[in-house]
Amino acid sequence: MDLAYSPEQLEFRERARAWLSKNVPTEPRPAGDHGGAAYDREWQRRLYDGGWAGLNWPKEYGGAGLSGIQSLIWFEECEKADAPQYGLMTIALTHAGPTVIARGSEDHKKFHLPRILKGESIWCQGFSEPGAGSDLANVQVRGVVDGDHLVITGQKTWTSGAQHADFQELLIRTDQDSQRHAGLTWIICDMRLPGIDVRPIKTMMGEAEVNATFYDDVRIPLANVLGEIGQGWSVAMSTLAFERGTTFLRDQISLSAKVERAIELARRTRTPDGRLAIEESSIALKLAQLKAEGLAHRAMALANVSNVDRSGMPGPEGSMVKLLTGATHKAINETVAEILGLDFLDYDENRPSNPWAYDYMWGWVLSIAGGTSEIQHEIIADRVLNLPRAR
Amino acid sequence: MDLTLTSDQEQLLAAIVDCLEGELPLARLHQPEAQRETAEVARIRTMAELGWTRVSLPTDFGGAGLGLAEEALLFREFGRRLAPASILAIVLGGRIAALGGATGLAEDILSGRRIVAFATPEASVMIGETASGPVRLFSTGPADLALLVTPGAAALLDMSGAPSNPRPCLDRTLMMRSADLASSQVLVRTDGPQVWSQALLLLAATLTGQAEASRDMITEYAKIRRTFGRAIGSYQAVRHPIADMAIRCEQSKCLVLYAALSLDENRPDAGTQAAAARAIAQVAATRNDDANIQLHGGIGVTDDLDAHLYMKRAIVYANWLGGAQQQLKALLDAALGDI
Repeated sequence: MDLAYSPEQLEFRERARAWLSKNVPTEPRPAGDHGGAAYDREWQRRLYDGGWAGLNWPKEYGGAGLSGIQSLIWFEECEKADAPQYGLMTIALTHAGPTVIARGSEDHKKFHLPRILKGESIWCQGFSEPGAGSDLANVQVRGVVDGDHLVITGQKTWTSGAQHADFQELLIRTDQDSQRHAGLTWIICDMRLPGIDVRPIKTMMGEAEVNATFYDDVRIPLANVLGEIGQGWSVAMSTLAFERGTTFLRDQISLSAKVERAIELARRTRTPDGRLAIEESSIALKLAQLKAEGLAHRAMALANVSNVDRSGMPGPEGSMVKLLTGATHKAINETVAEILGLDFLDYDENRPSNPWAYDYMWGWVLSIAGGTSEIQHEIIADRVLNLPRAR
Repeated sequence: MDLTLTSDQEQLLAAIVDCLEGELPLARLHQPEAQRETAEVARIRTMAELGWTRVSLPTDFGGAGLGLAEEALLFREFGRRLAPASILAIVLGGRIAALGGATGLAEDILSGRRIVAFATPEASVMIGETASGPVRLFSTGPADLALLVTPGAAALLDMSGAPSNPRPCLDRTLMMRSADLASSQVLVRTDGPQVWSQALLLLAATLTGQAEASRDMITEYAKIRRTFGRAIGSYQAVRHPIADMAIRCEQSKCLVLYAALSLDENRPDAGTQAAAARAIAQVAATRNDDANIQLHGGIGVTDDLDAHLYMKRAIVYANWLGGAQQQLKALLDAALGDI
């Protein structure tokens, strides 16, 4: 147990810093639909060329094969360099790719993994449905075998980025007499197939990045199934632990910097009575408490990646981290709303018009997407505390 | 860079846990008051014999020469078992005396022969060649020594010439007195923020242990207590608050270990990390002690249940090393640098 970086880790940090200083784009991500997608693909291509693609993917599949601590160092340097987020590449890199690695055939791996790493294919997720969100096992979209194809009918929802996606990880019910976890199948859906209709859903932020996706007799080759027909639940769950390991690492370590920015803001923003916001003790105390929480987040992130490096497997503690990240993110932005007062209201349905207000609303994405805070509470109660279940 | 315990530390922790179960059962705190005090003082001597007062003291001064990380693990277990409250003042006071060359005094303290009270200012206090100002003294049984820690200095004081008034305390497991430092004698003084940071850290570790104990108490109860034909732990109104308790423990534990290592490695942000750890641990203990009582229902407010003992001790500790406001204000101004 120690906080000192090894010479190799220090050298790694230097290498990351040097590369980022030369390669982080100076122009901001364009707001328009296709500009954003092109920007994300281009950044991923640059990461690939620099050897930084697929951070914790194994090297044999073209990944960078980084340890947890190295990933942490990389994200810390990304924060300092203000490097782009994965954006529309997120599902491909943190979910679809790892699932293909864990459960895909050699053909799947050979075709998809290099395309993801090079930024050539954007993926979206097709898990949630109007009647299957937190209760994912209630998936109803039908898949019927017809020769060497599955014919898909039904509706998925919250398919973020579907309008830009090349592929989708699609979870469907292939055994119509089955219940719950049995009878589901995980299949790779080419988003350009006929019969797919993507309808954007406008969110409270004013964007329409999430969608409802409809399938009308969409024919997908059986060769696209990951695992076997009927094993969909186990395939979907195989990357869950992976997701809790390092997917939220950047969000987590950025909280401390966010708090510092909020403190900075309070030191230069005047309240209607002419005093600086930081002089309001109610605001100062909240910021101080948040600063402590930001440091706790960083310590938890370190403990989490240390455990992963030691045991090779993230534990259910990842649920604690995810829950806390959402809650702290919200608390920071609520305090910012108090600091800015009326100026917080200057928002024109796009992020650049007021990043603080956008960030405030993003808090609900953090606490709902990828398993709501309520579901994370259930996971902690079940798997960390072994409390009796009602379900 | 690694925040997992080494196998040596795992073994040490297992040994501590094993030993404490016999040495510090919580049932001891339900004894009649008169017997309890004598027994608690005797326990401090036993703890000293086990070497627990000298864990991070350098070997040159008769200590075990381990780090604050190991000492924090020990204090976390002390917190879980509501160890005699004087232990913090004894460990830090003994160290000040040893490092300050007062060998005989250090030995008296670290062997548990002389009890040290923890002094908390009631208004502004001054430490120089002499000390002055009104304080509350918290101790396990009578104490003729007191430890006063401020952000810039720490002093070990002889209180035998200073009159003090006993005051009934919310926490019945310790002794609270009011006194003025004007008639005390400064035995050893050390300048600089180190002792303050060490005190914050060990208090944070203690509070983390309390938060964990409250979490464990209600987790076990929620598995066996039934209402409406089901274990209460199956209701979301019960299990979700317990999950929150577990999160607070995890947050607090990680930050305490991080802060301990920062201090051990003399990192520039160590003082900030220790202050943050205390702030987080204080909230964890206070909130968890509350949830433990609440989720127990009626039995939670009885004297027989241990739950209130944790709550009362946490409120006492909330007043040590500056109140919440003072703590948080200092944290706000602390520079983080390039961590």
